[in-house]
Amino acid sequence: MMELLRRISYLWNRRRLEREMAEEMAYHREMMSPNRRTNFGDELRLREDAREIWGWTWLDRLHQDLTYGARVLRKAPGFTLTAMLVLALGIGVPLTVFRGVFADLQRDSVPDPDSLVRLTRRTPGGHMTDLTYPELVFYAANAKSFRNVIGVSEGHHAVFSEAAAGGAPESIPESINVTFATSNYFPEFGVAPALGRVLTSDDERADAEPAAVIGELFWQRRLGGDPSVIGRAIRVNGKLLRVVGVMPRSAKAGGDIWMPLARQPYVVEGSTLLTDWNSALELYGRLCTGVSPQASQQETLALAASLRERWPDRVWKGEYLEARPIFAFDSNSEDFKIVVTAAALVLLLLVAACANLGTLVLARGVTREREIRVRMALGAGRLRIVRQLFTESLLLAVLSGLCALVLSSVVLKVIHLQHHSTASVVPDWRALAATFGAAMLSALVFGLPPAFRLASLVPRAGRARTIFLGAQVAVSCLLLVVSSLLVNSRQRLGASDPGFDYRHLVWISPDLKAHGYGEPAAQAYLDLLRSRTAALPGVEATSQVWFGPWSGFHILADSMRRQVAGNHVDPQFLDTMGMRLVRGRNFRPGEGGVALISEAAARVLWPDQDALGKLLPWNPPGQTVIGVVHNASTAYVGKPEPLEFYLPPSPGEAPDSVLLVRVSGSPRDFVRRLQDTARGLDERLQPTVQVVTDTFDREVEKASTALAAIAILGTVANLLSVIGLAGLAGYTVAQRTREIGVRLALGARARHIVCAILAPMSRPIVIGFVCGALGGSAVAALLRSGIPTMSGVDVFAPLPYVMALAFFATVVAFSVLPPLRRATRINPNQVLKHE
Amino acid sequence: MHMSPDPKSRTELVPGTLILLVLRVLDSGPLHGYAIAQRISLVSGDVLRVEEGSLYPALQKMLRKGWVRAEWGMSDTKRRVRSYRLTAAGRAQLESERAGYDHVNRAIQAVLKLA
Repeated sequence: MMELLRRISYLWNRRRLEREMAEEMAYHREMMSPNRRTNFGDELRLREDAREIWGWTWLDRLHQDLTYGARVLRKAPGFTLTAMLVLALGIGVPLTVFRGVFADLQRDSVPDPDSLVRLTRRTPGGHMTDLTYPELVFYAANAKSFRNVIGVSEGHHAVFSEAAAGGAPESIPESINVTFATSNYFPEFGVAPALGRVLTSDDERADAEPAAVIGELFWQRRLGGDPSVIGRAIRVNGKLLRVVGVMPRSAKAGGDIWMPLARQPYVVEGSTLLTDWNSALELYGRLCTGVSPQASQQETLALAASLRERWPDRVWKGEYLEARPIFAFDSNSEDFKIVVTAAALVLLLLVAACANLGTLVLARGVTREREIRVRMALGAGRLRIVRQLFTESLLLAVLSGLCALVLSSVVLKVIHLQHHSTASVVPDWRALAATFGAAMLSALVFGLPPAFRLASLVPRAGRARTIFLGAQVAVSCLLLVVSSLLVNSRQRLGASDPGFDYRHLVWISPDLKAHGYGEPAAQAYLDLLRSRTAALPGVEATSQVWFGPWSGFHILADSMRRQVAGNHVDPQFLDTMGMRLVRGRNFRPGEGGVALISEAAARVLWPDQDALGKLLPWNPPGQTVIGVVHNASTAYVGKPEPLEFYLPPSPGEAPDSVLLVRVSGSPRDFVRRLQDTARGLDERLQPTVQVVTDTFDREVEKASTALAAIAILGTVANLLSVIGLAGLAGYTVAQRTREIGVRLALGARARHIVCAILAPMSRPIVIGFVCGALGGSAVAALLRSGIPTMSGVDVFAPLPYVMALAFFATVVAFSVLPPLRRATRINPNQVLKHE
Repeated sequence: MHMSPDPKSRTELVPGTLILLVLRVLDSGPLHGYAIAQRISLVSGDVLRVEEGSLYPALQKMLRKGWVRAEWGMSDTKRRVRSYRLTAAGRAQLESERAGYDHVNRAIQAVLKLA
């Protein structure tokens, strides 16, 4: 430690100390007898030896190398700018993506995120993500593992209006989203109000004045960002609320308005949320210090068993609350696979950039051989040459890294501006570390092999060049093939027939359960709504179903590791959806124990037999299949082979059933009318009406966004390829100018010259293309299995590959054409005269 | 360690002993670089000659290790010289190196006598 301090102090006083040593040694020399003076050796050398003891000479060398490197880079501006462009893109694009994603993930500064867990119900055979209010109360009161149990319920549809104040009239009601949360949500998730205060436990008391916090975006959009909003009265579903604060937009959970969970019945009339077992809350727990998630699961296992004694039909046998830290990834989930795939695709760009630069640096090295020979002749060691060349690469990489940082900050800023976000785009330490890590790594990859080659430590550059070129081509082709396959599937999705008449369908969800309807009342309401709706002009058919098509909800059954999606529907379902029976018969009213399945499901479940009369293999005793319907993908958008089953309505589900309506003409024209009809029967309801084509359009748009992202990556990778191949061909031509001149003089045709230049490039290009195509189909297959809208991807369709090949061939041709033209126009006389 | 200029009368220093010798010489009082070399060759009867090319790196190493401190003073010839003084750490180092040297020396002697 002291030694380090002495060394640093030496570094600090270096000039003085070195001067003193020189003086001292000069004295020594003077004192010696003249005949021995010659034996003292080279004075400079001796001084250097003594200096070396302090271990700072590497600093001198680094300084030397950096100065030299900077001079070399400055002298070849074309190369330097190209290389920086390539690497800045290669580092910048992934950096931007990761910064964007991380900013998204870490929007809340959750204090101590490791002890904040999401709680979900689990048994060895079952899993349910949502819990109910009575469970929240029970676990909050009894579980010792948790300091706090937090409940959140997002996305409640409500009607908002500004309360009349100071003679101003009430505003026109508008539809909003309300989030209900327990007051401990705010401190535990680290949410600080943008204005005013957040909700507290006082606001949860039944006798407190009803309070609300409004979302920052809603505040700006709807209330003009007026700070005097604090203390103002607003109406939600017609009920008066006092605004106490503004929720920052950075909060992870969204919502236009936030209210205490305990006051939900105040704005949702007739709600039995606080007492019944049908509500759906997201539960979180803050673990007490030192309690592991596993330990809490042990405790909840015991607690759930005691709860089951009181509610045997509500709590499963062997149930416990699975506790998973909120930022932990489930590495087995499909989502995780998609995220990893996406990250890998993005990182491929860095690989492409490195490979690209590698070829450039290698090619350029040939022109520097003379310089290196001179330096070696002057006494530079091989390692010294390698170190110098590597320092040069490092300098290039770090400069590019800085450009990448600037690039990513600018892109993020543009994105933020579009989303009216005020988040900072100044890179944090993570971004800095990632950038310089990537720069170092890429310098190693693209800088070391050429450096070894130049210092003649490796005899031939052949293999390195093949690998670099192959890798770069492979990445470009992989991204091209993936984009091409996705474009293909996207076209199919746009033109696909989901198997039902989705363009003329709407469904209306009166949300009877939220308003405390029981089974008979709900059925009576639905029957009445149905007859009123059927009487509307333009309505062609109606059907009562448990889940609307593409609502995001369905029953999931596992059979032979394939997931089959199901729904409860009435006998009018097929007619309303415009689906048709292929074999067998439809349900009869009131019939139970029977099922319809899709053709695809019939094929998968009973490959060589007739499905009619078979029992569904799950939830025994299993329903009998009485009909097979034409394939219709009602659960997911865009599944070409939908595995689905339909069961008759079962008693008890009426309070959360929806009414499906087929209309003639544009379904959007019916939204208002249907809403009015539903409210006409019960004023308290806030019915939602979903136009099915909207869902379709939204899903298609999502798929298009993903496709666009991959296409952007592909474009950048191909841009890199153009730069790299053009550079490589250019250097090859420059380096072989003399040879080409001789060949031309000896009568070679342009054709021969082109072949001679392209020959060494062709093998890596072919290998790279094949690898890229194989990788691309593998990636596409992964995406297909994870994203329903991409399930139409056909990795065996030849067309996408042909398209990718054609595109890439164009890219290659485009990039090597100018150097080749130059090559064929070489004037032999001039070249040879120059010699 | 460099070869002595005159192989007939001089002996090469055993590697690693230079620092030990310098430490021992400085134990009797501070000296400047030239004087250290002189003293070693004088005491050894001109058998051991310290190469200047090894002496200064060795002195720098001892400075780095904190075994000696350097200070500027005046020589007998009224020249500005830098003399080296042993520190407490240097004295401890001298003891341990000396013990180590004796140990090895005894072992070598034993082998020479018996083998």
